[in-house]
Amino acid sequence: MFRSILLILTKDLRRRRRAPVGTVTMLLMPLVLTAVIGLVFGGGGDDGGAGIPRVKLLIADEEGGMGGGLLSGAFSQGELAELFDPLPVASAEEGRRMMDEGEASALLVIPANFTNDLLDGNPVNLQVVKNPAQSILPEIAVQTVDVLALVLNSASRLLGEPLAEIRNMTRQEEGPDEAAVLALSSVIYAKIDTMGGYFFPMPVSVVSGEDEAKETVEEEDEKEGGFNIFTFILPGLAFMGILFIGEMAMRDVLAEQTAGTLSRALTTPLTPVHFLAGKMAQAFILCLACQALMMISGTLVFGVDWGPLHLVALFTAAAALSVTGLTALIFGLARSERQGSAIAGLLIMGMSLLGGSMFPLEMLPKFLHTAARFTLNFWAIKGFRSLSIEGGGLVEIAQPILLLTGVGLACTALGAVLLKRRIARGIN
Amino acid sequence: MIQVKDLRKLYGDLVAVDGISFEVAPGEIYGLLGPNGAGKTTTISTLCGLLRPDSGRVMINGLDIQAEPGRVKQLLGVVPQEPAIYEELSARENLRFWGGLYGLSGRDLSQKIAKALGRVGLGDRAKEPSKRFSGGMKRRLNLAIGLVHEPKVLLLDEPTVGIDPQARINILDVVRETAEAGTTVLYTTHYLEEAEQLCRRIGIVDQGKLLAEGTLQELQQIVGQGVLVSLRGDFPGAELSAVAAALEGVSVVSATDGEAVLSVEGAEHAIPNLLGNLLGKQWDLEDISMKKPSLEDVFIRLTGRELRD
Repeated sequence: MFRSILLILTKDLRRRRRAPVGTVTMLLMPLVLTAVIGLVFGGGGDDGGAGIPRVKLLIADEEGGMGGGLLSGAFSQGELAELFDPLPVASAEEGRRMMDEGEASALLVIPANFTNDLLDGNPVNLQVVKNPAQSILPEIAVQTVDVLALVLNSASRLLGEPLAEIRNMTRQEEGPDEAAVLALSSVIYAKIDTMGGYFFPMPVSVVSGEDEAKETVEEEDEKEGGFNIFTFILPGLAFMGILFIGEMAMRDVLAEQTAGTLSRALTTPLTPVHFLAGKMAQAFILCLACQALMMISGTLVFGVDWGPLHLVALFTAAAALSVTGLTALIFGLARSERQGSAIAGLLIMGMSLLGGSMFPLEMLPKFLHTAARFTLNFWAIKGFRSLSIEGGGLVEIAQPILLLTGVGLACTALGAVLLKRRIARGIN
Repeated sequence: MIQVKDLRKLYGDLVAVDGISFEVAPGEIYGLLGPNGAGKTTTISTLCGLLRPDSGRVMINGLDIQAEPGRVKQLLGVVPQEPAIYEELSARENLRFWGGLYGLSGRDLSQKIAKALGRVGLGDRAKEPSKRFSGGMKRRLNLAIGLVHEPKVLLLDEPTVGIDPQARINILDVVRETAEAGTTVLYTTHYLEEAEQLCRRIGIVDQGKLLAEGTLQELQQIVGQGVLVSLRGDFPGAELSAVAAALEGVSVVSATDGEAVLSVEGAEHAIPNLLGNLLGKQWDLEDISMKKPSLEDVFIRLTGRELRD
């Protein structure tokens, strides 16, 4: 049995290699789309990122001092003003309540005594609470606060003493005398001149977490490294790509029926079960290979970090199984190759639109968010993002893996039965 | 080697095969001759296990195809009507795959591939993608696939439809050589001349029924021992039939207004008598010809219409 399956598999892979246009197109499509969308979202255009929604950022300034004012004011100035809609809130609790109601993408909590701790060199935690229902926008907020924290760190390291002087001067009732200001200027100039290599360890750190179960989860920022828009886009588009690859592979069952090679194969000692197993193996391996190629390309071209290799491999296998099963089921139900392709195309595009492959989920109306959970794309994207962005491990991806594997196995079994029946019916 | 008994296959209300029975001896070429839709392909599909008959039995080498499909299929080589090949693959790769399905591998498979390609004249095109092949070359590859594992029984379903005369001659030669090497061949066709040239025995099928079977000579006797006289001119078919039927040694094969075919026994006496009677009728006879009866005439006698209808 294994030999027959292997024969069919190698024959089909050889055929794909000889006529690679379809496979290569399906493979290139997600990469090209990722590049285009990434460039648009990444601000390649004159409008500084046309198309990306503004980040609604709640700011709970529990200090109300100079440092907090500078920090929150930064979101209303320059390029950040084009990206953010900052909204001061009275307290962190009020901010969380608004987050629960979905009114913002993130909440920045500036702790009490922020300025003094900063100037005194004490550790300071800036807290960013992300809206878990969104993906890209909260991450933009976290990364931006990260950058601002870096600026504050630099400033506090370099200019700690002069800034403390300024703080003291502003507290005096009479204004500072000219000699003191001149002396302070000299010190600041000298400090800036000798900058470099003194930034670490940083006294200011950003703590981010999702607003889960109405509680702020305070945990270390999951991943090191800067924000990469492609990391958000590519997993979804890559999954859409392998859905089309799977469709193409399983369509071959009906194509062989039309071409007469299936009938001929069944005049040999080969059974329909062997034939189908070979086709499904082909679909599974093509999906795996294409996902791997997209991952390698994504890493080399777009600098995407997919996460731990063994977990990524495990998750990719689950995703490929789900695609194989779904496409087998579609072509098992279809009356003809043409009908199967039409249904598969519509379903793939629908799932990709709804499940977050083509647009971030937060850009869709809220009532569609629940529906998105019924798409394979949603769970595939969730798993890949968990590994690549959130630094998740096996526990975090267990739910998507189980779901995709379960759907994959169930659809594969049902699809196999329907296709076997179809083959018998088609011949008779 | 092949035994078919009371084979019956229905598609809904349509009776595709209606109680066909025949036997084919080892090494024999048996032809199933009939027009399109006569039930030839359905019969072959049932013989190779693709279709399950509604009733009747098919035995290959003493094995029931329904009871032991795996063992029977191992003995069969099937050549479908339309080339069933993978056009992305070369001729050699096609044969490697199909031969592999019969359990062949390694050097044995390579030798058999080379032999099969040589027999159909594709040895020098073995590495070329078959999508570049002409229609005739694809049909030859189609035949080579059926031969590669050197089957005991070869089933060919109209393998020469729509190809050039040269390719047809090549295919018929290969089939003849295959039978000479001991393979039993069942060959379906609607080309009379192919059946006449190739097959030792012929079964004539129409509308799912086997109307007659036998050697060419045996089938010719259905029309008669003598010669066939064809008439063309301006005459009423019914009246000509009546005149001819009244004459000794003359029988009517077919007769319409202006055209008729008569079978004449004892030509040296009967033909002058026939011509005398016809000339006496003052009909305008444009053409009179004589020939030995062909399978076409047999088919007309059996069905009342021409094979090409």
